Amino acid sequence: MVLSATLFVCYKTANFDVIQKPFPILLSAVYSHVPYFVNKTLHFDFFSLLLSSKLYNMKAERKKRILQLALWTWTWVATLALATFGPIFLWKENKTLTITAIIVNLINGGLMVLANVKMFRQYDELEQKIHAEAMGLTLGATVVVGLTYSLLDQTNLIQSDAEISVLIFFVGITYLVTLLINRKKYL
Amino acid sequence: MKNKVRQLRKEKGLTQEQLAEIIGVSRQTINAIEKEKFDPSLPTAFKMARIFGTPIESFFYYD
Repeated sequence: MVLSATLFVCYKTANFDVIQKPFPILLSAVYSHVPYFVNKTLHFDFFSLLLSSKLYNMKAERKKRILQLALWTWTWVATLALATFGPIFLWKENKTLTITAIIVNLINGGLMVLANVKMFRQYDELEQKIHAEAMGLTLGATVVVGLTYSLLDQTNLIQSDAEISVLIFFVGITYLVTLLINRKKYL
Repeated sequence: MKNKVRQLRKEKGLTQEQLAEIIGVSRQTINAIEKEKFDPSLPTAFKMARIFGTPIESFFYYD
């Protein structure tokens, strides 16, 4: 649910309007041979078009990366479910299949992280700042809360055992909340 | 950091959306810069300077 919500926020905040604007790439090549001082108006037009061309590529690239991230995230969730429930319902404790499922999930997880990094690099400077601050706050809060949670378990102050899933849920919620707070702060 | 981005943008007859498109950032980023909630990077400031046809220090200044 948290993953879906995060992807939805990323998709909604992305601006794809410019994708529909085709741009003659040839013009960019021409501009590179026009001196800066030729004419301010001329310069402005060429410069704007050159930058628009870059932006056209940027927006298309962003859409591609969001889709890639969505793909790797959902395949990771699917392989995680397979590795979790497969030994119980599908292959009756077959160790080879279980190990294979876990390795596939691990590789898929790595690719999901890479897709996330590529996505982050695609953000503009303010978006990167917003996400970086949210990640920093989430990391700090997770370390503090995670260790406190572990301590509560060790000292038997909580009835149940400390579960990693609780911490992961905490990470997701904290990241979403800090992201929304930062967006409110800067936008 | 104070700036005159809004004033110069209006003098050029550009909307926030258009300026954002030209520079390669989101409209929200231009809005945040104009509201002085966010200081842009040096490359973004240089792009703005080229579009406005004026040096960076004439529209970004430390108060």
